Amino acid sequence: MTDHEKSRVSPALEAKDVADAALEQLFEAAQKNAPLPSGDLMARILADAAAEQAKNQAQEAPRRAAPSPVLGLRAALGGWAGLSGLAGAVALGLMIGIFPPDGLTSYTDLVLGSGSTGLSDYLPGLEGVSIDG
Amino acid sequence: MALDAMSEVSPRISDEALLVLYANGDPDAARSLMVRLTPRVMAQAFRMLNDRAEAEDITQEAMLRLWKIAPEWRQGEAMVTTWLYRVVGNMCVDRLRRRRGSPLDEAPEIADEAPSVADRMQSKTRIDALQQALGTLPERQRQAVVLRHIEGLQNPEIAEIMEISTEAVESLTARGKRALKTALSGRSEELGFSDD
Repeated sequence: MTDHEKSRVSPALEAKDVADAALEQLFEAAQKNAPLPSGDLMARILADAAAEQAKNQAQEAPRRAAPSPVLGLRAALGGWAGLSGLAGAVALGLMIGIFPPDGLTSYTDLVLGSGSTGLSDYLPGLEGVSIDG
Repeated sequence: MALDAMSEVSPRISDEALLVLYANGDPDAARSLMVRLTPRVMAQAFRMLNDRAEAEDITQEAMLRLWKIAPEWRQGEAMVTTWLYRVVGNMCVDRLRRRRGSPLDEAPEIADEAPSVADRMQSKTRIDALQQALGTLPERQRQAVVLRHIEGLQNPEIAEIMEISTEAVESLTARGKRALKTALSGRSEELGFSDD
């Protein structure tokens, strides 16, 4: 088929191809000629950035200077390790108080005596004094 | 300082890392981000609005939102550029809807690559023609065409920016291109395509 015949057979297709190619060239021209921001705009944007940064820093400063009471207690106890050690000790003490082991009861009897202890054991001079008056 | 020289700042640090540095008080990070991002924001806004003053307003406002969000920026969730393109796109669509029906044309100050006077004139004619044709598209079609064919983004990123599916992006750009061809039909000779 000659070139002349081709152009007669598919004019619509050829026109479409030309339109596609032309559009691609327009896109390319637009990419190469992007509108540049002016110096004035850049200066305004930098000024905004500086102002916002200063505002953020000012808000951050008091938060850094005064940590919350919980954070302060945690730090005083030596951080998370100290805090978890304390919690463990409390839990163990509670368990011993509720379910004392047998050996522990005989030991306290040995030290403190098995009978009841009253005020007169410690202050015998007050034996005849009536508290009720 | 020339824009090209300024853009040499911190070329290997990611936008996100620069934003974190900015939030932590680094004074140079803002300049680096501005040099990298402002031309892209400005180009997108101008292509959408075809008005330099409005495009500058949108650019400044979009960058201000970036500075404000910096301390709360959630790392690894979205690219800074994706977030910015979304903000700018939404702001431009809002403006277009508000001013629908009022044509505004203003020639942009364009990057000069020292072509001949004739080439420059033809280039300007073509860009103006494209800009006018873009102005005839519905807002979302225009946004998709600008991001795909002028900003050169890939469809998945455009889908994320516009919060639609990739298929919807393909559909918008295809319809947009068809509409552009229709709008430009009959101007081949004026635009210098008759001899191509």
